[in-house]
Amino acid sequence: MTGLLDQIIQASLLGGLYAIFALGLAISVGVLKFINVAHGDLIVAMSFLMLTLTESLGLPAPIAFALLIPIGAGMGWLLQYGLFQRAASQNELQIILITFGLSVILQNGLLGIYGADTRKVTAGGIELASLHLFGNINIGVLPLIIFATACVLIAGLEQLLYRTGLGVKIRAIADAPEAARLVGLKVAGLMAIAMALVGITEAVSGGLMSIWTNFDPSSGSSRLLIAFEVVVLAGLGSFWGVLVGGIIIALAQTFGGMVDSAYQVLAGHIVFLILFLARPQGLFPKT
Amino acid sequence: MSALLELRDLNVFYGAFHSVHGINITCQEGEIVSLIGANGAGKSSTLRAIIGQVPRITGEMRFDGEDMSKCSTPDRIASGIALVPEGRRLFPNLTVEENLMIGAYTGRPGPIGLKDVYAIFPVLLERRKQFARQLSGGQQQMVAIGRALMMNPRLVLFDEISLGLSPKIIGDIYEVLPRIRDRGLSMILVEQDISRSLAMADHFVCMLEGRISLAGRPADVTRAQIAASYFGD
Ligand SMILES: Nc1ncnc2c1ncn2[C@@H]1O[C@H](COP(=O)(O)OP(=O)(O)OP(=O)(O)O)[C@@H](O)[C@H]1O
Ligand SMILES: [Mg+2]
Repeated sequence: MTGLLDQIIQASLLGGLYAIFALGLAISVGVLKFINVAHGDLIVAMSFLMLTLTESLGLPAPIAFALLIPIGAGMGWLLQYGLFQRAASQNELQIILITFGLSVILQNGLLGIYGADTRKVTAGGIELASLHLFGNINIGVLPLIIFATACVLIAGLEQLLYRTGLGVKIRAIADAPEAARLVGLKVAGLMAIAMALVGITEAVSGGLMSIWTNFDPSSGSSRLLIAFEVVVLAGLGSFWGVLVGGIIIALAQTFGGMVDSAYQVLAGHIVFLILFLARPQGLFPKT
Repeated sequence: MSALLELRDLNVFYGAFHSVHGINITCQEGEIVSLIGANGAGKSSTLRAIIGQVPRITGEMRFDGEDMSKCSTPDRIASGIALVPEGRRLFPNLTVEENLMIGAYTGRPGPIGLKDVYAIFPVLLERRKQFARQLSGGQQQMVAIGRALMMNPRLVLFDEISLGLSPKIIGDIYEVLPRIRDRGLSMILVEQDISRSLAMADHFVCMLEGRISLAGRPADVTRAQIAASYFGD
């Protein structure tokens, strides 16, 4: 019985990581109105950057992680201004194709620089530390940090988008870009800021993932798939819904894995499909 | 003294389509200019050109003596021009208050704030937490006007604010315009309801197929002259 409870707790915490994967996609789908196929690869690129900062430059993991965040913001901003912005003026299909191309370039670039080996960042024992709760239930410190980070990110995004002037402007351009131009909002600049927020979530995802699990240059597509499923489950515009979606997928994977380890990933997809068919608008659509 | 707004030889193009053909319009400080014309005459194109939102413009635009022909829309709005667009163009999933605040974010600093807009349109105060899409057409038009006022403009461009509204609501909305004028704001009024629009205007400009077919003071022309320049016969 406590074994089951233990599994549920661990899975819920892992759901936090899935939620962070999905947050960036939720913003790009909800605000920028396009699916960034390279989202998973950008996360993996951040994991590799974390590897370089810690292994090659010898920085402690927390400092490397802190550095990753402004780098992620800058990367998102540059991608939007330099690449997506130009494509958006053409048409929606083109921008998806461009992100697809970016995905291929990133995967091959990472392969060229780091090779095909599976890698992992060591963070000096934090991976192994755990807290004793009660009975024989222990929770890992790292999963707890990941989950708390997800909550902080979500609360921060909610606050920013729903309680500040900048957030109102970003939601306005998402809601009606043509109207936004007519009333003098600087649409391109606001989109770049939104993409910088996406970049921050990618940096956080990549940084945490690099400590949590193994990764290699081709890991991006499975991250993208999870992010995509979580966003669809959550429904557009709901960040706390993203956390619930992440937990649902993680729980499904855990229970699938208990039946047979081969079913772990499949179970996540099956639960996603069932819920999607039952509620195509998502669990918590905001509009 | 220079005019508040001066358009000289303004042309608007949509791709190869030449929509507005070298028109001149002047609006003095505190004036109401009525811009009339049949469907497709180029009224909206002219207003959108003033705000800098058409694909290609040639000609000169001076605002308060300053050449703004090359300025971006955000710069034009920040210097005191506001548009109440055709079809209202609200943000449907933002609340009434958020819609109004957008005007404050993009406009000039100035005395007009939420309090003033709610004083003009008390119904918006009651509904300030509702989404714009939940409002009636008339209430939405009030939000569109309020959003423009929040920009603390010197010149407001109204594009068919009575479109699709009942006579009673149109009356309510039109009662507000003199109050706006009393604050010293200038207006360009595009309206299908010619007599209502001309009754308020100091000047009028009638457009026909992208050109000015008649202009002057409403008192100086006959109904027949207006009808002829409006329909082009
Ligand atoms: N986005 C556009 N692309 C191409 N042509 C356009 C566009 N907008 C307007 N036009 C054309 O420019 C001309 C003038 O249109 P405009 O909307 O300015 O007229 P209007 O006087 O406001 O008409 P209405 O009374 O119907 O609102 C029309 O022939 C119209 O078809
Ligand atoms: Mg029009």
